[in-house]
Amino acid sequence: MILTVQNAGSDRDYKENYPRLQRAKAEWDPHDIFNHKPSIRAAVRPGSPRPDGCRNSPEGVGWPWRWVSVSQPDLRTSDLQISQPSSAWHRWVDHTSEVQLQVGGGSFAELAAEAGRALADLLLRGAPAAPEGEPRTLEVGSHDREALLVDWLNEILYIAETGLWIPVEFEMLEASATHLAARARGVSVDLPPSLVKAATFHGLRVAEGADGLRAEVIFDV
Amino acid sequence: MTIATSRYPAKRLSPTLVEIPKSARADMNVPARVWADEALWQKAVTDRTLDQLVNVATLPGITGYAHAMPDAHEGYGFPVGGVAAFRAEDGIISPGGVGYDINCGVRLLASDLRVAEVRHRIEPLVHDLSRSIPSGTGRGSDKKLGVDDLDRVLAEGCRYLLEEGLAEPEDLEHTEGGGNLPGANPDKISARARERGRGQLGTIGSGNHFVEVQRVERVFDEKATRALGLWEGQLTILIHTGSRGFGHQVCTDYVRAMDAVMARHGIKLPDRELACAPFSSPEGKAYFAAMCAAANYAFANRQAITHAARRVFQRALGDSGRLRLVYDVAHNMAKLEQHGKRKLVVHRKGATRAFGPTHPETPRAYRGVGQPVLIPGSMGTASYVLVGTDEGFDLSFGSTCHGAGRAMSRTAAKKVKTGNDVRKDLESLGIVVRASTGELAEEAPHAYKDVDRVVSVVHDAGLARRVARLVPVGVIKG
Repeated sequence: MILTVQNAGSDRDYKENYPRLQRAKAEWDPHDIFNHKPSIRAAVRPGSPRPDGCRNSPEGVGWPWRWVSVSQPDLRTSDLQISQPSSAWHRWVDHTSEVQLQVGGGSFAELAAEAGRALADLLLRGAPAAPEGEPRTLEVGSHDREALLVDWLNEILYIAETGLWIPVEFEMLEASATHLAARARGVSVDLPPSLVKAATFHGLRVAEGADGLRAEVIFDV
Repeated sequence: MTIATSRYPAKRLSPTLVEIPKSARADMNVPARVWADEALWQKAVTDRTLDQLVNVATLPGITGYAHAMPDAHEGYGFPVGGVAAFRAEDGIISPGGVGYDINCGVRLLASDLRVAEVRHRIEPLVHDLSRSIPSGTGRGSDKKLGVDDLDRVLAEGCRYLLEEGLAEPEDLEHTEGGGNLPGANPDKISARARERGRGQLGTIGSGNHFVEVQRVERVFDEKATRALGLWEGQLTILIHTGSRGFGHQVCTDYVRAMDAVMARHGIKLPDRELACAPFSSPEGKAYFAAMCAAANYAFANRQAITHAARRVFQRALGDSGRLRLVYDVAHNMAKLEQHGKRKLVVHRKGATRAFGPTHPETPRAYRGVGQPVLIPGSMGTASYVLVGTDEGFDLSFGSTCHGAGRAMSRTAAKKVKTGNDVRKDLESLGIVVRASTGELAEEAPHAYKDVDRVVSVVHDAGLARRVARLVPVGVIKG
């Protein structure tokens, strides 16, 4: 069963202000009391369930996006998780002693932000986290896009472990093939997050497809 | 002899050894060898272990064979449980061939106590150990090291802790490389690694790392156990941890650095995580110096935990709570070693050095017996003490297995049993548990291969000799 939701004119009417408006919406009207067809959809925290029980599917992602009910989840993969209503998606696939992140987005900026949110969710072990405090700037540079993605994720691990702070929300400022910069808001933690040692180059891929970019990264855990 | 089909042509050479010929893939420089009986071989062909082993066999300067130990499983880059030796003059060194947890390793402490006689004290002792040794990832030790202190830990390892009163002279003799690898250079360590290393000395970390209070359950070799100071019924402590966030960052730094310069060295790889550089190149030398520093950090980490354990036992039991270090051995390391006339850079990733009775690096007290090899089972199952053999030096560059090896992913393990069920299982066996429920589920015994089978294979193959079997009475983890 496929439910198609009208993509309320989000990018058409609100342009690049949409994510910011979404955050305001999430804060002031999380239950969508004030709505009309093209109104703003609240930003969804990574890992939080959709009220309608549907999940975003990478196969079903288009623009406008679609919500697809998943009836037969793959046992080897974790649940697909939705985030902000961009075309971004991610899922975790378990290997014997590592975990693989499969992530996609309409652009490299979207993909990097989604990968950051996915990693944050893993570090928080799925505990809900509302960002708090001042945003911080994250910035990495590398020699190609694959290495850049690994560097980006390792930067988040480094900050989480040494700064006891996990970025959960990313506003991408720059996303070239060799440079990523973002303003991130996050949550403070009492103890450094356990589990993840590093993002590796093993099986690393960033590929372009019809519906945007798709990447695979394996983490040593 | 019948053999389970793999994607590669393979020939069983003995009940414990399978060989994949050099012709199996055009880019192989040497054949590959898998130390496995039929059951372990069948497990090995189900995932990408063999692909990864064949990839290793393509690396420049590899010599002899690319080896997979009986507990091998798929990893990133090199398989976990992989051994590969490269010629020092024209071969490579690879951070991915050592792994992120540089010098993850095991040390065994022996007490003068009989478990049966201190049974009622086990629970308070385990509790006190869990309070004295911080566990989870990044959870820091009490005292943050100053920069000067950290530099000395990196340069001198356990020798610095001896000066600080955290070690006994015999501890250093009974640690691989004296707990102090001379090639270490703290200047090759990034500020980020230093930042991650600060405050983690003396901590266990998460994942499969643990501290166990154990009982020597069975003795297989009287002469060897006597030499090692072990006896049936004895209380021992096994410490399994590594270089913590410090080592992870060193590996991250150098995989990245080598990835950037490989093209310049004309190296082409089947997998980017195999990132490497010639051992003799500036990048190769820098990584080796940094890796040795991380290894020293790990030796010092296990030494600091030893010191904490000694204080707990001293407080509770006075002089009768003495703990002697049997041996400390690394599982993830690259070492520059003399093999015959050749100098080789031997990578052991999830594998243990196992030198024989006559090797000069075997401690004096164990000459004629062999270097002790410590094989932890998964948390809550049996562990083994083995000794290296002289023949193993030629068979596998003096290397053997490192543990049971994972058989199941963390998520899959959690689906089999909850942490609470695992805790109940362990407690019903009379094991005192101090661990978080989540970690218990992920690291449960059923997620690992059968350690008895793995040890049987290395024993039968002659890679190491079985000496004693230890069972847990108390488990401490993150």
